Amino acid sequence: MPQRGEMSETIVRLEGVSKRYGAADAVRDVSLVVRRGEFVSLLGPSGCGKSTILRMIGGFEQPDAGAIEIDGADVVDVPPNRRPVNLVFQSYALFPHLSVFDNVAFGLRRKRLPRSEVGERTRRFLALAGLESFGDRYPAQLSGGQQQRVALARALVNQPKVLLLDEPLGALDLKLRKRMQVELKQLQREVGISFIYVTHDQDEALALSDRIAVMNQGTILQYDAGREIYDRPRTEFVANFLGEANVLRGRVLATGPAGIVEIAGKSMPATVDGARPGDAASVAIRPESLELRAEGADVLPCVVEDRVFLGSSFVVYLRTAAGEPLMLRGFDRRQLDGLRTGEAVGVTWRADLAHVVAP
Amino acid sequence: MTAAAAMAPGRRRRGVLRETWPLLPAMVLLLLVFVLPLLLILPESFTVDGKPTLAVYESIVGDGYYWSVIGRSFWISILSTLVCLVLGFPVAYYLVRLVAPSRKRWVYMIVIAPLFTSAVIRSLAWLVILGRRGIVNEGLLGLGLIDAPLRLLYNETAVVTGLVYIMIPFMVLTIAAVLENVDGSLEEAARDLGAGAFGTFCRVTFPLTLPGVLAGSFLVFALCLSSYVTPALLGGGRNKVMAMLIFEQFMRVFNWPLGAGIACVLLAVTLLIIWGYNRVLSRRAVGSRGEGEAML
Repeated sequence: MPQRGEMSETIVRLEGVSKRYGAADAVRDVSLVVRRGEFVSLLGPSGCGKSTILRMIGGFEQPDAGAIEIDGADVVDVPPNRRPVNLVFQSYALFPHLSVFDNVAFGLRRKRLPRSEVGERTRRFLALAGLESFGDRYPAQLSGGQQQRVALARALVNQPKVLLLDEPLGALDLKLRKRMQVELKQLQREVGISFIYVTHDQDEALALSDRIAVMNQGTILQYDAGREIYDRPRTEFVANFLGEANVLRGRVLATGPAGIVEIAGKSMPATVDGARPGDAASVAIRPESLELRAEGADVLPCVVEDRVFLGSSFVVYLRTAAGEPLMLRGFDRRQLDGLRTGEAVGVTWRADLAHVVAP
Repeated sequence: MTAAAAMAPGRRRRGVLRETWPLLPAMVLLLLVFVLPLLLILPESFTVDGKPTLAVYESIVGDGYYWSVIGRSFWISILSTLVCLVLGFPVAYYLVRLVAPSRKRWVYMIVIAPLFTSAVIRSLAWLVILGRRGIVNEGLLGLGLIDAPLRLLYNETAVVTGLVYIMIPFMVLTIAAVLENVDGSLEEAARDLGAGAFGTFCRVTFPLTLPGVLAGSFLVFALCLSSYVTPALLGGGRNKVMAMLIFEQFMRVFNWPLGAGIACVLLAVTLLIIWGYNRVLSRRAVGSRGEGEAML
C-alpha cells in the first residue's frame, strides 16, 4: 500500500475492481492508478463500464470485488458524503430550488464552515467560473454552458482530492463543447486537482488528457498517454476507437521493429512484437501514414474507389487486390487532383507506422 | 420575422377556442351540476319565509354549537391530513425510489386497490374491526390484556382512523407523481456534496416534492372536510361534522335556509384555502421551474 500524504504520487488506485448487474459484467477486474494532478480520461463506447467505474470512485456503486483507494485510504465502505471526491454529473444535477450561489455554497455549508468563509470561497469560485453576476439567478434561468460552469464551480469549491466528471460536455453543442474543453483544461491546471473524465468522444479525450484508459466491455484495453496509444495501439478495437485505422490481415515473415508481414502476396513493412514468423496477424496503419507509390516489392496494389475533398485534407478510399478496404488521408491537393476513380495505384508505409495488433 | 409578427395577432384570436375546446364538455357538466345548484342554494340561505334576511348567518355565528361543529370538522380534517402525510410520504418514496422496477406495478396496485371499493363498505369494515365485539377487542380480551371491551368507536379517533385509511391513496399517488419527476441524480449530488441521508431529504428531496405534498394535503383535506359517510358511521351522533349537519338540515329537519347557510360557509372556507394554497405555490414556483403551478 502506498504511503499516505505528500510522499505518495498516487491519488486514486483501483485494484482488481469488478461489478456485476444481474448476470452481466459491467466492470471486470479493472486496475487503474491516477497520479496527483493528473488528467485521466476513461474512453469507450456506451455501456463499456466507464461511468460505473466513476460512480464506484464517487461511492454511488459498490464494487463486488477489488479495492478502491483514494489518497492511500481504502474507501470501499465510505459513503459518498464522506469521500474526498466530487462528481460533476452528466445532467449537471443543479438544485432547481436553490440559487446559483446556494448551489455552489451547498458543499461548504454541509461542512459547517463559518458564514464569512462560505461567502468568500463561493464568490471566489463563482468568479473562477466567470459567474460573478449570476449568483442570484436560478439554474433554469441559465444557458447550458452556464449551467455547466455552475456544476463545475459547485464541485471544485469543496477542493476535492479528485474531481470526477461524467461526460460533462455531452449536452452542449459542438462549438461550445470545443470552447469548454479549453476552459476545462485551463481550470484543471489552475486548481491542480486530479480529474477523472468519462467520455466517448476520442477528440475530447485526446485534447484534454495526460493519460487515456481505452475501455470496452468492462475492461481497460490500454492505458497510456494519448499520443502513445495513437501511435502504438495494442488491439484492433483501440486502433479503431482512438482515431481511424486501416486494419489488414496477413502472415508474419519477420519480427522486430523492422519486421515484415505478407499481405496479399506482398512483403509489407511493420513493427512486429508479440508474434512469431508464420503467425496470422492484423496490421493497423493510420490513414495519414499511407503513401502512394508506383511500384516495388513493398507496394500494395490497389484500386481508387472514391475521393473526398475535406477542406484542409482529403481522403481517398482504396481497395486492395484481396478486397480489403483502405483509407488514405493526404494534405497535398495536387496529389488528389492526379487521381481518378477506378485508377490502379500502389500504397506503402513505413515500418514504424504500422503495428501488429491483437484482434 | 416580420411575416410571423404580422400573423401572430390573428392566430392568437382564433387560438382561444382552438386551445380550449377540449374543456367544453367538462365545463358544461360542471356548470349544470355544480355551479347552478350552488347559485340556487345561495339565495336560499338569505331567505326565510320568503323575506330576505341575514338571520341564518346570525344564528350560525351566534350559536356556539355550530362553532363546535365547524371546529371539529377542521380539527378532524387537519389531523387526518397530517397523519396521511406522515404515513403516505414514506410509501411514495418507497414507490418511486426504492422498489424494484419489476415490483413497482404491484405496489401501485396495492395502493390503488382500496379505491375500487365504496367508502361505505370500507367504513363499515372499521365497525367490524373496532366494534365492542370487534376484532381488536376480541383479540385484546383473548390475550387477557383487558378485562372489558374498549370503547373504540364513535369518537374522533375512530373518524380520523377511517378517514386516513380512505384518503391515504390520494396522498401517496399525488406525492409519488411529483417525486417521479425529481431527478434522482439531485439526491446523489447532495450526497456527493457532503449531505447525509437525512440532510439530503431535508434540503433536496422534501423541498422539491413540496408541490406534491401541498397538492396531496389540499386534496385530502378537502375530501375530509366534505366527507359524510365515514364520520357518520364511525363518529356517531355526538361527533357531528359539517357535512352531517348540512345533510340533517336538508333531509331530516327540512330547514333549507340553515342547511344552505352551513353549506355556503363550508364552501367559502374551502375557497379561502384554495386561494391561500395557490399563493403559497406560486411563490415557491419561482425557483422550481413552475412545477408547483403545474399541479393545479
